Amino acid sequence: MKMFKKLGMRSLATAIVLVAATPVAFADKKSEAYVQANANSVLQVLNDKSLSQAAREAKFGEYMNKFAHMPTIARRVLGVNARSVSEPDFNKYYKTFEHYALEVYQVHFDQFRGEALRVVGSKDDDDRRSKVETVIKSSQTGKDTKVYWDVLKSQDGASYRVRDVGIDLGGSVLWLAQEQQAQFESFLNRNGGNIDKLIGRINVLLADMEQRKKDGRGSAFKQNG
Amino acid sequence: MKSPPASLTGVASALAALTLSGCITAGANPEDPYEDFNRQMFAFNDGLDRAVLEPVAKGYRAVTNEPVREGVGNFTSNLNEPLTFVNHILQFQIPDAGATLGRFVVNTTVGIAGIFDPASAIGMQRTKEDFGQTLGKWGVGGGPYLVLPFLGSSNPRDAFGMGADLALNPLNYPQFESDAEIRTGIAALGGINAREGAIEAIDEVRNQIDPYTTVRRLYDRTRAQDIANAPIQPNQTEKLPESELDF
Repeated sequence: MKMFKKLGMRSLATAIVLVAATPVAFADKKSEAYVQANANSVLQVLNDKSLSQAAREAKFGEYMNKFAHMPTIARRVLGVNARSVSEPDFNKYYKTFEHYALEVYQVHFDQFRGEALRVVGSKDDDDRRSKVETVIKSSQTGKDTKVYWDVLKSQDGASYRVRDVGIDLGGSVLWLAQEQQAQFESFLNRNGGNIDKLIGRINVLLADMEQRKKDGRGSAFKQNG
Repeated sequence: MKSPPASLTGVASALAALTLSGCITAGANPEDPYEDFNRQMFAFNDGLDRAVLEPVAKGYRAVTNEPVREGVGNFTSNLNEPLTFVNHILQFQIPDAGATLGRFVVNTTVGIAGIFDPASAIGMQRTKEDFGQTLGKWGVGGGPYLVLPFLGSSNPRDAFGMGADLALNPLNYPQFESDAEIRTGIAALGGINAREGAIEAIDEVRNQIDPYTTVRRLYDRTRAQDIANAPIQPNQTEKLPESELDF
């Protein structure tokens, strides 16, 4: 009886050790380091008072392009329409999209400028894709906000790129590129897939954003900062 | 005692009439089968908001300060606690029902008719339930997305729920002098106060590529969360196209 008990306890102990040693999901620490380093660079640019507004915008764009590869995002948000867009049309659209997307990201990230972002964990969706969870203080609420990064690893494993950013809004995550895709697809579906109309619509929004900046309403770069 | 208002059948009748008249016909988008009709209603509501509600809300902001608006918000929210209590009971959420009743008593007395919210300060957090959520908890699907004139985003379940809430709210039954006018006035004040709180958010929505789609997606997600009483995360694990994986 004692022998059976001992065996039982040993098996149980072994099982516990095996379960503890096997991660529920393999977390890629390099993707976490990638987000930590690059996201903080982006946020520091937004807070760099030594640069003029134009220089900050240019540098922000440069960092975002390296961090997130804007042409891929531009194509992705077209959804199924991406397949039927010609290269010349795509290039025309991309110029406008890049400007618009960078303005949108600036507005969303502006509440975090000057703050340091810290990685709190990550979860792999598959062998190339992971979600990195970070926390950063928002100047709007004064509270810590969770920001998620959808990170894709290259085929050779040597580099990474961010494909979407999710901002926690009271428990629900708003994925920026995913929301843009839903809107762009809907707009194109209702306008016969006409890319010129989409470009026109984006330009209207850009003009409004520029006016808001001049008026000091919800601008990414406030005149005094 | 007054009989329940006719709104319960009124909403259902209006929807049936619109469908039978051909104003609402199903379209090609499976996520939004009545999109054409919905967009027309969305444009109508947006026009009305820009012409009337938004200017009134901005004027209200200009003549009040934050503590006053907070007090108004607390007052109108407190008047919804009995309805939340009833729906907690219907959902068999007895502890939450008890907490809601406690909130109502504390805020109505210590909080001076609900203007102040001492209940939150002592850890009794506000919850909000309506009959649409109750139906959702009972397993009733929302049905197709609908934009109702004046009322905005909804679906058949939630529209029915709105009517039912008028009948279920215990505070709709006491009769006193000018009761209808007072109730209408309070509802209007609550609406203006809520619109004031959303000035920036609605401004942001209007600056999206497709505000209608933004509002629809937000409504679907918010209602699902309200029914589940838990965050609902959008699907972010879809299969990626080859073009995106090719780097």
